[in-house]
Formats: sequence, structure tokens, C-alpha cells
Amino acid sequence: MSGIMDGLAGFLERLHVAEGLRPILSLVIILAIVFGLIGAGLWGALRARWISRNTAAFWLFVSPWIVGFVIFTGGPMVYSLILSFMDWDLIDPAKFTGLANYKEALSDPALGQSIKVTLTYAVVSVPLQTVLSLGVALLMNVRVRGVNVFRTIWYLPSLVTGVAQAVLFIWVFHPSYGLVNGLLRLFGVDGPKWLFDADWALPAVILMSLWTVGGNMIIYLAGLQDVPKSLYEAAAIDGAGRRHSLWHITLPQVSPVIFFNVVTGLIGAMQTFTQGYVVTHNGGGPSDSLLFYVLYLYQNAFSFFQMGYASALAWILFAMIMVLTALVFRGSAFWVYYESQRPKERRRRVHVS
Amino acid sequence: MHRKALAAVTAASFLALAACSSEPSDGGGSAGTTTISYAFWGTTDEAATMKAMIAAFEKANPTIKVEPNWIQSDYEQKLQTSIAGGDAPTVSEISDTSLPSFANAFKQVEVDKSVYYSPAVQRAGTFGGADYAVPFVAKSKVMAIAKDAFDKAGVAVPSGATPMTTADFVAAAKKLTSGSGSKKVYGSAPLWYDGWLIAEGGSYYSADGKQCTMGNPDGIRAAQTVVDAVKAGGFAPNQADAQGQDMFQWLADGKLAMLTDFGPWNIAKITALDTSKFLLVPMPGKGEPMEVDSLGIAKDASEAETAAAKTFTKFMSSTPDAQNLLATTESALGIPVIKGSLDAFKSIAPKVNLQAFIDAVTNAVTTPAVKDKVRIESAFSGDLNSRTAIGSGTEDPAVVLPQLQAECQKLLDAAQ
Repeated sequence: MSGIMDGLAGFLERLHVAEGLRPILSLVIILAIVFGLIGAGLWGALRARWISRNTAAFWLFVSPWIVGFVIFTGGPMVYSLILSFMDWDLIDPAKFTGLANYKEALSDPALGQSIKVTLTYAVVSVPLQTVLSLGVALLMNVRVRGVNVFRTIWYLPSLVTGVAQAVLFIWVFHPSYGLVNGLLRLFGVDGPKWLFDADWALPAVILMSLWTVGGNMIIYLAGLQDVPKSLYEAAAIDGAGRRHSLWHITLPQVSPVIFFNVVTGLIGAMQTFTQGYVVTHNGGGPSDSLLFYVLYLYQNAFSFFQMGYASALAWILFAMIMVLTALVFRGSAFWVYYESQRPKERRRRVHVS
Repeated sequence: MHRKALAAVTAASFLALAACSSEPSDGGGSAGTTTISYAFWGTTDEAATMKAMIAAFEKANPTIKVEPNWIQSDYEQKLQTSIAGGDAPTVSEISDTSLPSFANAFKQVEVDKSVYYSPAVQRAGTFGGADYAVPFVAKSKVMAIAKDAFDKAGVAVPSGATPMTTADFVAAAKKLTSGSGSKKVYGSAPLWYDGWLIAEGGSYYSADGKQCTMGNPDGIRAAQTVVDAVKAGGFAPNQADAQGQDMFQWLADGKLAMLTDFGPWNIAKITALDTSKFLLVPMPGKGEPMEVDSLGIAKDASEAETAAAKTFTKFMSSTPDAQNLLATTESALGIPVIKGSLDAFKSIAPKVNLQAFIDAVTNAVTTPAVKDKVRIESAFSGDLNSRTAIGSGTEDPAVVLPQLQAECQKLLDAAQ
């Protein structure tokens, strides 16, 4: 691919095209050729009556996504799968090593630590985020004057994420000069070293994760506002109080939303990287207490230059996420309510299979 | 209409294939000019220094154009990725510690070692007995002291030429520590284990690079000093107090008496202060590890690019026109590596004894080049920090270090 791009760039150079435009024009030419070939192929198939006009139109319109997926997602995935059976430092030629990388993973203590950190984070932070964001959404769903201001206030922190959030919290949790320990000192409590203490670093990062509950709150709020009022009216007529309405109407009605947030939250938690990276680069996270799985994967790829082993780790993570997601999906039959489906049948399906 | 479209697609395909089979560009720009790319790292000020050196080169060599590729962060990762992607810069800056990982990406070069005044610099571009990069800047470390603090404590100001012993340093640091709370003055900044290991006469590896040696008595003594310095009643601020703090500013504000690990990047800052109040002296004991940065030429550079790159590396490493620009009152990238530029370097701040930097370059202890160094030292450092009070642990360094040395040996053997 690089050879083709270089060739095209050389060709454009001969046409005296400005240097800065050559890479993008080369890409445009390649894409034009690819889509031209797809179009020509479909046109030929249409003429030969192998496919209908509708089918040709479908493939034509879906082709940008397919081409994008193959080039930017599918291709790299296949490449990383191949690399996972190789030893490659990016400079010397790759050497085929069979299952050596996967065998190494089985006996790698640092990998065990990274799995422990990541799973602990996922298991604690996802339920906490779920409860807090749903609780806040319930409060923000109350019709009171100025509620939109409160909704904005709760959502605003979600705009400060990633590196900015991590840097902010390094200072908030600073043992000597931080806001948290400053407040604790007012009450005569000598706070822990937080991110600089092996026992407190992960709890501190879990607390950090609650900073962005505003994003999920918006989704829950949308779900809550979708619950038919007639259900509450019927329950009220039957004498149900707020607690019963919450338990028997609100939670079942928003359970698909909770399910969505739990699944995406779990996948996101398993892929946590930024917090661990930024904090450890600033001297925190001692004793590998913030060695998240993806951080360890990154270290192997870009600090130790073990691309093959890093690729194997990526596929192991993929398998772990698939298993966890499948478990959550299976378990959803017992607590997620869909009006269009019969819960008992779904549960029975789980038991039968 | 359809036939026309098909014909257009076919024509475009042939056009692309024709383009692919055409001769690759040979670094040629406009007639008679060769263009090379040059990758380097650094802060904004350091990049400005590097660009000034490039401008001086282009002025002296009008037929060669150098495209600067300033990589602000994660330099090695980005360099390695660009090499893997077949888009390696023609010339890359590389430190002596990283050279073993990158040597195979560079062409072997001829280095005129007679131009360098320091044996450590002469060896910096060598790996496996061959030269892969041309050294052009040294980054030695010294110690900055606040003279007032010494006068107040009645401690003799250290010599600017002869290093203190490590024991004398510890004794002085204790005497220089005084006060409490916001008035506290520390004798020294926190000590860096890797640096203090060298100061105590130890090393990560044996001279031939085949044995891990940090668990020897020197290494244990170094660890114990680092731990003692920051424990309650010690002479240096602990990790929590020092976190996120600028130790240079503490020195300027009178909160520190001695700032170890004083690198060239601080030269411009100290020239902005009243230089009569500060003095640069050698690091105690055997000094600290010195980084030497060199210039490697990409293996896949064309003939014309290689010739231009050789002219560039020679200019950067051996001409006063380039070397005199390495350090100014605005920014200091490092210490010149040729004798002809040393007077210009010392004249930047005559009162603070910049000769200490030059002495540190001349007398620098070099460590052997080891493959997988980053991985080995990362594992060691992580364990050392988690198990001993150098980091968050509580175990005795005398027990931990021999165990870590054994672990290090396993990784070293595997790498070899």
C-alpha cells in the first residue's frame, strides 16, 4: 500500500501538483479506482442479470462502509491476529513463533495483575456508575422550577474527560496540596496518599469515574421520560406508593436502558487506558496498582516493542470481553423487560440452551 | 454512457499502475536540491535550538534542504512506528540508551572520533562493535547549590572541580536541613536511584553487559541512601511533597540547598537568576549517568539522501557553527561535544561554573548497551518501587535487591 501511495505521489510530482496535496490526492485516486471497480462490477452483474437493481443499489450504497471497515478495522484486525503468532519489534523482520505469545501470557505475572486491576475496576465502577447516574436521572426527572439548570450542571463534567480529567484529579487527590485531603484536614482527618498509595490508587480512579455520570444520566432521563404516565396513574389508583411505583413500573420500564448502559459501560471499563497511563506517567499508581489491561498491552507494544505479544494480548482481551458480554446478555433474560417479548419464554430459552 | 464510465475506470487503473511502476523520488526537490527529513524530540525551546542549527546548516549547504520533524512526545514510539510503516526520517536523533533497539534501522556510518574530547561521547554511537550513529550532543548532570544556605548552616561550599564523596554529601545535606512547615529548608532534592547507583560506584550491568549487578553492595548502599533521604526527619522532601513540584523553583526560592540531577535544560533558567548566589559543582561520588544523543541515517535512504545526510551529521557533530548553538541563554539542548565550542558554552553564565558540565562529560561513566533495556529496567524499577521505600513498599533493600538482580539476570539472558 505504501509503495502504491509513493508511486502515485511520484506521479503527481511529475504533474507539478503541490507537495502538500500529493498524499490526499493519492488517497482520493485510490478510492476513486476502488469505487470505480465496485461500480463497474455491479454494473456488469446487473447487465448479466445476476443481481437485481435493488441488490445492486444496496451494495453500491453500503460499499463506503464496507471499504472503510476492510481498510481501517477488518484489515488491521486480521493483521494483528497474524502478528499474534509472531515475534516482531517493528524494526527487524517478524519471525513466526506459533503459540509462544499465548503461552507466555499464561505465565506472565504482570498480565495477571492487569486482569485483576481491570476486572476489579469494571466490577466496582460499572454498578456504582449505574446506581448514581440512575439516581440522579430520577431526581432530574422531577418537574420543579429550574430543573434544566441542574441537568446542565450534572452534565457539564462529562465534557471534561480523558487526559484533562486525569490531570485534574491528580491535583484533586494530591496527598499534600490536593482538594480532597485539604477538606479532610478541616475535619482533623489525615487523608491517604490516594493515587500514590498502592491500596488507594484504584479506589481513587473508581471515584474519578463517577465524575462523568452525567452522560449516562441523559440516557436514563430519556428512558424515564418514555415511561407511559398511564402506568403510574393505574398504579396510583391501585394504591401504590412511590417506592412500589419505582420498583414495579419505573425500573422494569427503563431496564433495557440500564442493560444498554451496563453492557457499554462494561466494555468501556475493560478498555480503560487513559487514567492508568496519565497517572502512572506522573509518578502515581505504585506497585502496578493501576496497571490496566490495555495499559499493559500498550506498554508491550510501544515501550517494550513486542508487537507480537501485544497483539496476542489484544485477542485475549477481545475473547474476555466477548465472554463477559455474552454472560450479561444471557443474564438479561432475568431482569430486562421488553414489552414486545414474553419474559418467561426468554428465561426458558436460556435454561434450554 | 456506461461504456464511457467503464473506460474511464480502466484508464484510471492504468494510470495508477503506471504511476506505481514509475521511478521513486530520490529526495530530489527543485533542480540540484536534495531534501532530507530530520526527526528529533524536545521542548519548544529545544526545538527552536534545533531549528536554528538546521537553518545554519542550510545556509552553509544551500543545495540541501532539511525538513524538520519535531516529535514532541512519545518520540521512540512514533519513530519506531514510522520505520515500520516504511516512512523512516532520513536522519533521526537517537539517545545512546535507545540505540540498541534502533541500530538495525540505521546505516552503518563512519565516525571521526578524533573530533570528540570525551571517551564516553566517542563510544555513544557504537553498538555491537559498529558505528550506527554520529554523536552530536551530551547531556551530563551536575549539582546546583545555593551558596546562602551553606553560609547560614556554616557548611563549606563544595569544590567546583572535585566531587564530594557520597558520605560527605549526606552529612552536608543533613546539616543544611532546617525549619519546619512552610519554612522548612531541605538539604537536597529527592535522590534518583538510577543516578545514585552510579554515584555510589554501582551499575545496572557489568562492563560487558552480560551480568546484572544492581544487587551488589554498591546498589544496596545507594538504595538505602535514597530511602533514608526521604523518611521522616530525612534531608529531602518525600515523594508526596515533591510530586508535581518544580525542584528548580524550590532552589530559587531558598527551599532547597542542593539540587541534584541538574541537567543542561536548567542552564537557561539559572542564567535568568542572580548567578552569584548559585554554583554548579560535580555530582557526588562517581557522578550520574550521562545521555549522549546521536544522529542515525535511515537504512532505506537513497544514495543522494545518504550523501546529504552524511553532510548534515558531519555539520551538526563537528562544526562550531552548529555546536555553538547547542546552548544559549534562551535554551540549552546540551553540552557541545567538540573542544572548539567549549569556551562559547562557558561564556553563557561565567559565574556559575559551567565547567562542571564539561568535566561531567569528560569523566562520565558509561553503561553498556543492552538489548531489551527498557523492558528489563521497567520490570526492575516497578518491583523496586513497589517493594521498598524508594516507592511505596516497606521491605529492606538489602533483601529485595539481590532477588531483583536474579530476576534481571533471567530477562537479560533471555534477551541475549
